[in-house]
Amino acid sequence: MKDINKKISTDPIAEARKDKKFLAYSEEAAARIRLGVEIYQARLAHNLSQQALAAATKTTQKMISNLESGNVDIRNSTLIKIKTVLGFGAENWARIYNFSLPIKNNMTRA
Amino acid sequence: MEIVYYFDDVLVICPVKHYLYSIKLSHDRKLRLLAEIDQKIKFVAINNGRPTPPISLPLHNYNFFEIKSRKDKNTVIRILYFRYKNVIVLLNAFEKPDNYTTNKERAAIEKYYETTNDYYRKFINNPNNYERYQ
Repeated sequence: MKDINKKISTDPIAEARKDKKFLAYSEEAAARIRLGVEIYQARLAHNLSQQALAAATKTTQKMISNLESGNVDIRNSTLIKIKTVLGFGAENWARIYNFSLPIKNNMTRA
Repeated sequence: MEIVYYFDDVLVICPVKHYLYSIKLSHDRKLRLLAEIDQKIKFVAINNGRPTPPISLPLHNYNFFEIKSRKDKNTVIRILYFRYKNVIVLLNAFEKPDNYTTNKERAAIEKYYETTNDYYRKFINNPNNYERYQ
């Protein structure tokens, strides 16, 4: 594929990437995304609805939905309740935190 | 996988790029939001563009998927994309309130999906209409 559109202004994400805080924010977002995916998969493995997990951890379904989508930071007390209910083990934490770098896409040019 | 923005040659814009530019937030909050959106797009890319719940989800009746990011307490940003050969094409983006009740609001949201479906068809007909995601 050839890039035929030369006159469009700069990519807003590429612009944001120039800010020195962007890398730190990307790392935080990557950790939230990985945690969200881990919670989602563990919840399904336990055959729990978001509603049921929310009830078991004394939070709301909306909060569980936001956590799974990687949209919000989790409070430590909530995380402890969730890991207890879902039985998080070392392998879960390894998947979340052993890759603290931002997610990188190995873009290939056609 | 390569990631590109769909370019609409009638509007002469990339709808997703245009939306990302137009987000009205403080500099720091916008930076955080763009970092999160960028990471989610890359997460999708390393999963070969497949819908990977809970980060990206398939849509009923459409051939594209959506990535959700929370803008504020009551608003979620939806970024709509599809996979074309070995490329992720970012088609459109819009804001959806958590709670909407009126037919007017419902119709407005449905229109975004229909517009995106038009973009999808236009891209299939002319796959050179794109700009690279940098």
